[in-house]
Amino acid sequence: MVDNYNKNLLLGITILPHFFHLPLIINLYIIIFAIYLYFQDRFNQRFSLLFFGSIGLFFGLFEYIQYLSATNLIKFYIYIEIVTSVLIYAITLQMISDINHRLVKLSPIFLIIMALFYYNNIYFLFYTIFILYIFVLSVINTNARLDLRNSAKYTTSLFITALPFVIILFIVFPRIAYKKGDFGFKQKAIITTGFGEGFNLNDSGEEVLESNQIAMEVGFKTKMPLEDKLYFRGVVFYTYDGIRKWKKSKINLKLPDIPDSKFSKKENLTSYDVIIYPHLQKIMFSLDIPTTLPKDGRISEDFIIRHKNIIKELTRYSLTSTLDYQITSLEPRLHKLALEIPKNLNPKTKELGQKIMANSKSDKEKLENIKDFMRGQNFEYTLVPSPLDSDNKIDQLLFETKNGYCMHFSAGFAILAREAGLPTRIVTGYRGNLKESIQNYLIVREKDAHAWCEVWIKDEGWVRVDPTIYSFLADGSSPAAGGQNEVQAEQKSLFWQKVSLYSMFVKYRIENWVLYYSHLKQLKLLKQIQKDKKVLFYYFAVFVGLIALIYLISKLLFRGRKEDEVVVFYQKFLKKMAKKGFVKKSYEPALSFANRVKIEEVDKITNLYLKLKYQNNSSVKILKEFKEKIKNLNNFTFKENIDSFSSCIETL
Amino acid sequence: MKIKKLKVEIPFKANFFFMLMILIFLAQAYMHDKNIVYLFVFFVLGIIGSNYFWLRKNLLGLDVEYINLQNPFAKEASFIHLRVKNQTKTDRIDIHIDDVNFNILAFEEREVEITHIFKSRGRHKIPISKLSSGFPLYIFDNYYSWLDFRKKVIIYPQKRGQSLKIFLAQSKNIYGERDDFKGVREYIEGDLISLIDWNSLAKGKLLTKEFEFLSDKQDLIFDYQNIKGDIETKLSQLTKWVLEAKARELEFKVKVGKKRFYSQKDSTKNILTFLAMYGENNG
Repeated sequence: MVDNYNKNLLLGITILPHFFHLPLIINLYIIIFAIYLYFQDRFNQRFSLLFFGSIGLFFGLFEYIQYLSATNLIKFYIYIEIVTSVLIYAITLQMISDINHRLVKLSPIFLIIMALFYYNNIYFLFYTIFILYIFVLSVINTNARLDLRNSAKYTTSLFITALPFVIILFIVFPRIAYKKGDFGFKQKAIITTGFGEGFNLNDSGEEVLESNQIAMEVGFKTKMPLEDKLYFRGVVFYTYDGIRKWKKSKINLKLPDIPDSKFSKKENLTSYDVIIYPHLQKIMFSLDIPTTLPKDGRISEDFIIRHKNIIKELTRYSLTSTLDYQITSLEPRLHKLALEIPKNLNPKTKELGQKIMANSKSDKEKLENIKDFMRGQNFEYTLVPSPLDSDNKIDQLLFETKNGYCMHFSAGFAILAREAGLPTRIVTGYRGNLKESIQNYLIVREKDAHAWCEVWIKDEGWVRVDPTIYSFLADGSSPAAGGQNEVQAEQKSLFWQKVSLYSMFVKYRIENWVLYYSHLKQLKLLKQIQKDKKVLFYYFAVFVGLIALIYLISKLLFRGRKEDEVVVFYQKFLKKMAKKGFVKKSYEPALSFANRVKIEEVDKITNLYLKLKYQNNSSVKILKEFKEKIKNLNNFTFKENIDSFSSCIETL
Repeated sequence: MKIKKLKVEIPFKANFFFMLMILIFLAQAYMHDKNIVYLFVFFVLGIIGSNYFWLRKNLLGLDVEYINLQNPFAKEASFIHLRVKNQTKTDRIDIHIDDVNFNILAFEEREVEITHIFKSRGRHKIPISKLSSGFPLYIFDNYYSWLDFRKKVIIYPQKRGQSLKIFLAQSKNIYGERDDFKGVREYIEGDLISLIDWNSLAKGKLLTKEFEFLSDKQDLIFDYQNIKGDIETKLSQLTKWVLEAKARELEFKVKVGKKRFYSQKDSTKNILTFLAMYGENNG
């Protein structure tokens, strides 16, 4: 079905996505095999089989033997990795012994199936369509023996005509509201970055996948604040159970308004509009700290705004926040909660906290000492944190594993600060990233979900501390390089800003309508149609327009050879002549036809036709003249000739 | 004959595998709630759907005409010549007529030669050919149309038996004496070795001796009765001699029962047609 060259190409592009997920040693095996393919003719087949059979087996066992533990064997992605590795191993051996084997032919399909377990983003969607395109192109190129240009032409046409099917199926194919099945496995993809109303310390060491899904769009009415002010407040946590869970305060009161008396300082006010995407919770994110309330919003003592209902659809609201504030009043109960520490746990943290407390004269000094400690630990920022499997998880985090992400660092910092006698709470929400902004427009994604701490300092009130800034990525860079991003953003030219904004908009639209199209959207669409029949008409019109566009493109692609334009026009001419009663016989050459009809204009057209068809030096001018003469043939008077023709018949 | 209707051939195995793959993908999409997998499946289904459309477009509207039949002898390869016309603006790719495949561009017409072996002499129908194409995807389905030209052709008997030269050599008593030496001429490939002039060859020239009994002036008679074997053997022998005599421009006479044919007045086609139809029309 597909020749060897195309087979290798297809295999290459279907293995490529696996490269980013398979262990290094398996990738090494693939690279060795790719090099071998280039020099394949120089090696004996039996030797090659033995060589790759042995090293493949050795590499596989070497890598996967270490996965043999109870915690690993319940992880779904381990099985995906193993199955993919075995599949690649089998394909390579089969390619050495018989490249035309069915396994080799079908392997791109199997590899795509496996890759789709890992990826769920717009780029991979395009990549899968690209793979499909190359597959169809190879089939046409090999079987129809067409050149690449023509193969691409027909492949493109196939894809264009397939589009209406795809759109219809995508919209109407019933989606089922279904929580992802795990069949007893632990899914790698269950933990993704994003905001949730809970706070559970990831102590199992499971990898967190970054989600690019948009959480909200923010449009600032004035200049965009600096990145270190872009903290969008979500939930505040106080109580830690010593294992994983942090709890919210139970004494939150829903105030109908934000009294000015709450603030002892309220400066640097900024107003903005928020479009929040449905997250099936009540939280309405606000920039630290809100001074106004949106419609349907209620505020708690922790300055958390909640909608009266669960947010199930796009919700837009306007807010004003103060970026420089001071709140100096604190409920005694909250003060007490912010100092709660799990009993008889984390002795090392306790010891360090007490030491800091003893060596510091003021709250400010305590805070500085804790920051110094955090800074000195060289915490590694990673989305694959080490498991925290001891009873003293905070001790293990701060003094042993020293890695994690915002939740780990916030939890560690909060407990240490409490041990040092500083009331501390954890706030979760989002931290805006200036890379995702254009002028005063900011996109906040699920991967921007963040956790930070607030420390109560006497006379200053709640002070925000972001412990994540004391960590470093594996390459030594900081995970929060706000200032630099801002400078980069400012350096972007206006043109690129527009391009970037446009592409973000397109990407956002595609992701939301394509990747996150769900039964909810399906139902919404159905309701819209039921409610207003015009919507159906609108969709139908768009669909018909699309079909018309596809038809036009197909016409353009399939109009045959360019030189046949002459023949096309000659056929038009013959049709016109036939309407007038002069029918050219199928066996009749053009010149004989012209001689038979004896019409001056026909003679001219025939002469031009013969020139264009059989003389290589025919010019554009002649073609133009030829076309015009045929077009103007309607105005030509046949009367005299028809009469003479009729009289001729009568004579006969 | 314009192609207006098409039939479709669906290979079970390929379709079964295809359906299985689609089910696996859909299961993956459903269990992992992934629109990206749904989209991939829909694209595959969409492409299969448009494959049907392009398959039909590739064949419908083609015009196939029968032109003639060459080498119409039984048990030999006969060549059926067809004219295929594409009077549309669309190029037609990888069209198959039986085992011949070709492309035909917009407003192009071309001759196609397909081979067929007729098993017996007599009046035969031009065999039904299959016009088909798997383009563009070559999987899952194959559209086709039967080409029935409803034309009958005469198939001559098989050219088989003794060669004319041997017949003439063995028949010297009937047609003249072997010693009636006429002269020498240039050797023609296929000349009997016994007729080679060895004296000339010794001098470096390859010449063939000519005798009176081989002269075209002799009255050659191919008599059905004198040929040994069954009817088909006799008719095959006569066909062979008639064609060879014609090729050598010899005058001859064919005797089949009471029927007589003379090369001077009867065309070879008429003689061969008689032989082809022998037993049907002539008793």
